Amino acid sequence: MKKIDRRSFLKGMGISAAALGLAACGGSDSSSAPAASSSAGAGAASSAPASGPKKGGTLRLCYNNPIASPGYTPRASGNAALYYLTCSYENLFTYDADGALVPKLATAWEVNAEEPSITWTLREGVQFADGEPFNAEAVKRNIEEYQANNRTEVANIAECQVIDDTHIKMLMAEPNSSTLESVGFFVFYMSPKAIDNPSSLDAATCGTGPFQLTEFETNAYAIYTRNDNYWQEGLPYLDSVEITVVTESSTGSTAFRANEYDMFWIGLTSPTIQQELINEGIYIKEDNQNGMGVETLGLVPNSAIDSPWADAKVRRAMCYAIDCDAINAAFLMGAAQMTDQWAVPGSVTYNDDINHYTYNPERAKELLAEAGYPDGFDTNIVTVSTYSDMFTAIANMLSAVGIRCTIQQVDAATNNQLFADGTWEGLMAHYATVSPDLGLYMGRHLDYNGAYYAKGIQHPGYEMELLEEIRRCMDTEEKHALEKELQAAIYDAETGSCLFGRPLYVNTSSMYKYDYVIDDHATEAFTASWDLSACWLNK
Amino acid sequence: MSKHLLKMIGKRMLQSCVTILFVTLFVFALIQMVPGDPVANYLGASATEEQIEYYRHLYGFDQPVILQYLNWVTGLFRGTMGQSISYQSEIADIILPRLAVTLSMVAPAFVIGTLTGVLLGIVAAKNRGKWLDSVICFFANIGVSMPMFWLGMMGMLVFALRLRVLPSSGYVPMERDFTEWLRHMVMPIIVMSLGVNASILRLTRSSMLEVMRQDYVTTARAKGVSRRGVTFRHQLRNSLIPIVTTLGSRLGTMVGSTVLIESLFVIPGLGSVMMNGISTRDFMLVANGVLVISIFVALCNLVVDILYGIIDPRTR
Amino acid sequence: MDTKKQGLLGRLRSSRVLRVMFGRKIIVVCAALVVLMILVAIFAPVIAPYDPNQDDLYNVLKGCSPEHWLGTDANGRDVLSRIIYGARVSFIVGVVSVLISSVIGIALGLVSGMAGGVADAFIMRVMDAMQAIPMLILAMFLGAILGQGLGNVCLAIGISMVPGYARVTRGQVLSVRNADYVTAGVLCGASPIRNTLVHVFPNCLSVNIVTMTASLGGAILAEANLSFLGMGIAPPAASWGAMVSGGYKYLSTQPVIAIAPGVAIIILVLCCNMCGDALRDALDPKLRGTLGSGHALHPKKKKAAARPRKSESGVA
Repeated sequence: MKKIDRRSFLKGMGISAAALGLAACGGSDSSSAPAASSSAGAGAASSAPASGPKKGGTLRLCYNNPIASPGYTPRASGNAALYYLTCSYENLFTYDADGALVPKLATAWEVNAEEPSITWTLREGVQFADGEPFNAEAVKRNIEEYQANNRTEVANIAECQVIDDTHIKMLMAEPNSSTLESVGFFVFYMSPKAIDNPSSLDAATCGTGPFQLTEFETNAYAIYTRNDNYWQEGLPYLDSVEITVVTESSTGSTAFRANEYDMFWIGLTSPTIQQELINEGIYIKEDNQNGMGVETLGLVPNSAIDSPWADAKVRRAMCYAIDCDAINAAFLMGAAQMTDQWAVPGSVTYNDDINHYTYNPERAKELLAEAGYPDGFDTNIVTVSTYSDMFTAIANMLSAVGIRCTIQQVDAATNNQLFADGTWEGLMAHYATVSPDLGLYMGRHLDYNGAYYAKGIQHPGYEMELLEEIRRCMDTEEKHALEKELQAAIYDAETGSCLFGRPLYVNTSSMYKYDYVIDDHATEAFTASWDLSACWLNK
Repeated sequence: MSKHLLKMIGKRMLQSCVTILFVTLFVFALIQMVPGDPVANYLGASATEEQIEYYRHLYGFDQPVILQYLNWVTGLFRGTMGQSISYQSEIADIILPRLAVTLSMVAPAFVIGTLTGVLLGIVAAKNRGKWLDSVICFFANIGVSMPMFWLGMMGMLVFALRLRVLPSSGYVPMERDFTEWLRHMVMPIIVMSLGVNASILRLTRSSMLEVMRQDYVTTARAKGVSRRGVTFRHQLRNSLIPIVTTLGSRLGTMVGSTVLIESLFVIPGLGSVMMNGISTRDFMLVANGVLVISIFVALCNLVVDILYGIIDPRTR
Repeated sequence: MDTKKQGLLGRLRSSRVLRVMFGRKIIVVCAALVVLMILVAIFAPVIAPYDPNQDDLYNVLKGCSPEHWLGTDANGRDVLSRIIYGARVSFIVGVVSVLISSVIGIALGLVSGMAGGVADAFIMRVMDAMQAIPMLILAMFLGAILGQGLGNVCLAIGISMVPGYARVTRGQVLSVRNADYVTAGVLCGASPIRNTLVHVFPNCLSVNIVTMTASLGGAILAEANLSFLGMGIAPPAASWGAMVSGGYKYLSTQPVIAIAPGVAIIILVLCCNMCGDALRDALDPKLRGTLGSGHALHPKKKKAAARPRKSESGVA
């Protein structure tokens, strides 16, 4: 069923997909503490008209991803959850439109690369919704709760040392450039009292955020009401926030156009609906502003199972046989950014100096013949219903060069299981987070024990060595050079190992809103910048 | 109420209990055959072995199947349906409110559909062979041949996308805003009621025609009972019998088909929760959902039997 | 009761049946349409203007035009050609699932009726349990177990329709089990199996043929429903239900993609139902009114529910 796919996909991707567009802030320049700002409300940089913000009103968001656990944050994962979590919970810092760090519950932080450790200065005078104070003990309790839930974001924290109420030092198990951001952004702080009684958070929230959950129905809606005890003086402006789950984008679009909602989130897979909204010309489309994609969608062959796909030539032949321009024209309104590597073209780790794939069926046939399959072979292509039209078209393209695909449509649960245990046969969709830190993001797929797809691909020595080097490397320039080398090793059209098959396009999503919605910061730096504390309605 | 009737009811209740016991067995057996694992699906790809083991133990999936079954059934007698892994809460807390949502849609649809169906059926039968009969029958035949989701889509196209008089989908709880609830439910209710209406109509019409040929109708007319009196006292009562016997299962069918309507109109009812349960492999949720529906059907059938005993003179 | 012993074939041969059946012009039209659609399905490659699976990615979602009468879908495939090929899927699913359900159902009904005792009780309770689960949900379950594909969809729908046949057959077996000619067969030393097949089975045929024609439309609708829920036949095969479901996305811009296959479903199911009704009336006038309206999900429920209970309460 179409409506399930994206949600479960995100869930399946888990925290890796949640790794957002950390791109802009890299991960390697954090050994020096950023200029800490302690001014309250720095995150709410406002472009408010001279008249000043109006108070009151309800923001109605039409959203296609439900959340199962809005209250107990360690269990919420994936980008999808952030729209809910940030209403009622806060993290130590967040991101602005450029991807720079903005203080939230922490006012300053210092990374000590030698020890290694991070020392946080916490904001004073912050209370949870139940009146509990937010302090170093509360931070420690939350980090431990996340660790108990096996969240990888906090896995590198060996110990939390409470210095005093507003200072806490986190000792890292090993030096890692990604730890600051994963701990600072991905942990959403719950009241320690609520943690003691987790069932109290089944359908309620208890955080420090501007709103708290008052009504909730998993696959239907979440209603948040103003937190009168919010630490930012005079905020929030809104009385309440209503997030309604509408999984069918055409349905959501209709309701949005009838002004049943103020904001409407839509995925790239509904290009015709997006086109309608754009054509109407009265809505504001909010895009990410730092030009980076969160995820890419591609097509990955299973090279671990003994089959023609074990041969890199066959994998490259597949890449030559796919006409990406036609895919873009037919299914993405020609509006999608296409890519052919583990990166968005133009980003720091995109290697433009390799041989790129072109649509060349003749070359595909040659490669197949070289690999010993002049008459082609039979294989599968696994898809969820969301992508079945697109994958049907791809299957036809592949069949044209002799790779005869049987389409195997599975539901999201099966799909997730297939890429987790690497048992898919033939081809399947490849969802990847393409942030520049290849050691972290590609590592999850390339590592022998990687969580995604890893058990269904080969692990050639050269690529594995490069991966290790990238992970150890602390110098930014050097790391990027190594990362580009890894891109070439895998994605070069003539010599690459083509382990992850063919990336197709960057999967960006958009938020549409009426012009009276001010300062919501949705999708500026993907979901990460969404912050309703200073949002208001100019109507 | 006669002794016979009571005895019959008792017997039927016993039979229903046995049926429901078989439903639990049957559903549980089916669940074991569906590929996929609830824990793996819930935890996602990043789960570790220990985590999976932990959750399997927590939810009792590590026990032998027989034991899992017994735990479930004995739990039911203790008043708990178990825990849903995908919703992370007690299953009854998920299912029962959603059953209410579903029933708030099914019940009006059922009543409207049945009443209009019976009425139009009578009209058609009384006008047998005339143009009115043909028109009614034509639409009734189309009604039973139409996929419900398609009809819903057409309603959405006309009333929401073109005329823009109704919301295309979504749900607002009745207690929050009744008018909004109504606006959202009008289309689903009408779509569902049309399906029932058409088949009840056909049944009423043919049943009426059947009864009209019977001797007692002629006798009654000969005795000077008015035409209207014959229609309502004699014909209708007797032609209701085959209709009443089908009502219970018809309600069950309707509850089943809410899967389609709820996923089309995005209504958080029992049907959509079952769909979610199947897709997230939350088997206990699905099993309990099926159980609730089958108990509902059994109850309806019981009521039908009682009604039947009252209407059918032969049982008195 | 004479007609019962005359045998089905004899009655079919007699011109009365055909005369009654085709007495109404509308039935002739419906039968002609069904034949026409069968021909269309068989000769799809000759009739269809395009290959139904031929993409044209630079020509997607085009409206109706002289080249593409019903426009093109999201892959630039010709909608008309896909509808023409989709008739094959509908017929195959309809016929095969009805055959599967009738073979299994009749066998179970015969065993249940002839064996009696524990076997009877067990089979009937399982049938009860299956009927207590709405057919769509049961089919969804079976679909999840079996996986996608034409054969599996037929099997899932077929199995979920078994109880109706089992019940009808069992009822029929019970009514003739003690007839003289069956007893005579036993006395002559015929084996129980032979006796059942030669003497009992033919008596169950006519009622089952009526059930089969009545459930044909239901099976076709069930396929459409499953396809709408994404549990039908795997792409790229053209199935009407899947086409409606796929067209839903483009309802506001290209509604014809969803409307056209829906109309095809209605026409086919309507004609099947009309012919089924007519055949039922012609074969067994007594059944008129009690039997199937070809209701989408429980084609035989009414009959199944009505019959045994009537006798039960009559006895009580």
